[in-house]
Amino acid sequence: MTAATGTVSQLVDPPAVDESLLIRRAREGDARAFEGLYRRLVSRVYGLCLRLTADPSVAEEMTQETFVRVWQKLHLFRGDRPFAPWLLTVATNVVLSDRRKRRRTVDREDPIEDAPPPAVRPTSVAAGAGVDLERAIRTLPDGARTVFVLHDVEGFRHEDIAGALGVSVGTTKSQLHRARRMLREVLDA
Amino acid sequence: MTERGGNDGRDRADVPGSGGSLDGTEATGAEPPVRPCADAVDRLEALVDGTLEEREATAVRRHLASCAGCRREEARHVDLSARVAALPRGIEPARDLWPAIEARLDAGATATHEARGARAPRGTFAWFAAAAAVMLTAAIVWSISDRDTRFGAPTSPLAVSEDPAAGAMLATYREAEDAFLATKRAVLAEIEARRADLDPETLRIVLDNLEVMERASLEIREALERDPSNPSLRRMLVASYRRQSDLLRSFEPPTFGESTATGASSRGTTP
Repeated sequence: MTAATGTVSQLVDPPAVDESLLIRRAREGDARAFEGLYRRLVSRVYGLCLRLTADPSVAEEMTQETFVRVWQKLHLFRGDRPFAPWLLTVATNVVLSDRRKRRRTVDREDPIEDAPPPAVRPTSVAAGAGVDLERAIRTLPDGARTVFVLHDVEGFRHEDIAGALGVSVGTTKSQLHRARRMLREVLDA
Repeated sequence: MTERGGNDGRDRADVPGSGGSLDGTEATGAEPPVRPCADAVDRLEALVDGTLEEREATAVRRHLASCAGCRREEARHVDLSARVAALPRGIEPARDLWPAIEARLDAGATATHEARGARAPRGTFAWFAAAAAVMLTAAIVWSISDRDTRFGAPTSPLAVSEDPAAGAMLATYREAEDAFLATKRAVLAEIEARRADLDPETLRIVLDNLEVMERASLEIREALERDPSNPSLRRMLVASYRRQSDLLRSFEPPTFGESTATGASSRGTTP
């Protein structure tokens, strides 16, 4: 496979090319068609990963992993449904799976001496500053941020979020309420 | 939900509502802001979300007309919703990630080829599901067959009997079972090749349960060899294969969010 570096060539992603055609070609092994899908949807995937992880380098890693997995599982995609939600489903599971692995790694280590450094994240907000919502979302704890991003930003249902997280719907609703309250406090400051 | 009457300034912070102007600014700089009614907070959020039943929504709106504290709280919910709706749908990464992705796709294809001598067929899981469906159909017909008395105690149910029709049915079942087992082996080989990409916890659970089911189906088959005319054993064997098929399908992508993930509808089109 050879990449089209720099600008995307017309052959890779002409505006007129229907997304379903790119999907069909990618399923047949056409890497250039898959690159076309990547170009169209990377911002959605990266945006979701960044908002879930609050860490740009981890988000890049998760975005790459998502597209690699989608390439491997494309034959399982049911072509009668919209592609973006399925893609974001894979991305969400990639992030959650990675988070579980990182937690298992931390649990096996001595929590005091070997704990990894905390993710770089703004820990305080200047009172009176015009804090934008993106930065405010990054200040949320993992659980609250995950539910808020999946529900309010991406539009997933509580039932689906609860299933993915392995918790009850009551828990996700509680987390959402907590996230909104914390965001309002930050934004009102 | 009840309205509470106004009170003197000292208690105002503790008295929700109190009526007054739409934005609650009737409180002067010396007075603390009015707060929403404690029993209304959750319902205000649900009202803004649009998840309240109409009757309750009407009652909340009626209350809002006379409660400044709750109006202010509602306004905060609305403001947050508006900000979320205004978020860009996507965020561009700082650099082009495609070269790294492409390199991994190439590496993955090479490793797969080297590991197994041939590229894995696309749609392996769909292939397995189709083979399983054929096997199960044949097995179900076999299990509910009324030709049990033809088989005779010493004859293996997998052998061709003297009855051509029964023999043909059994041969069909045997072929289907062989195809199912061969496909299962291929699927397991596929899983092994992709082990690094699979969630280890899910993998462990699936393989542990599969081992239990395989032991069970082996025992059932051995029992069938001794008692080939036993319809219950046949049904048990069919059920065991069906459970294995369902279990291996665990590695298909989840249906989480497929039909509902549309994003905030007010945020416009994809950039």
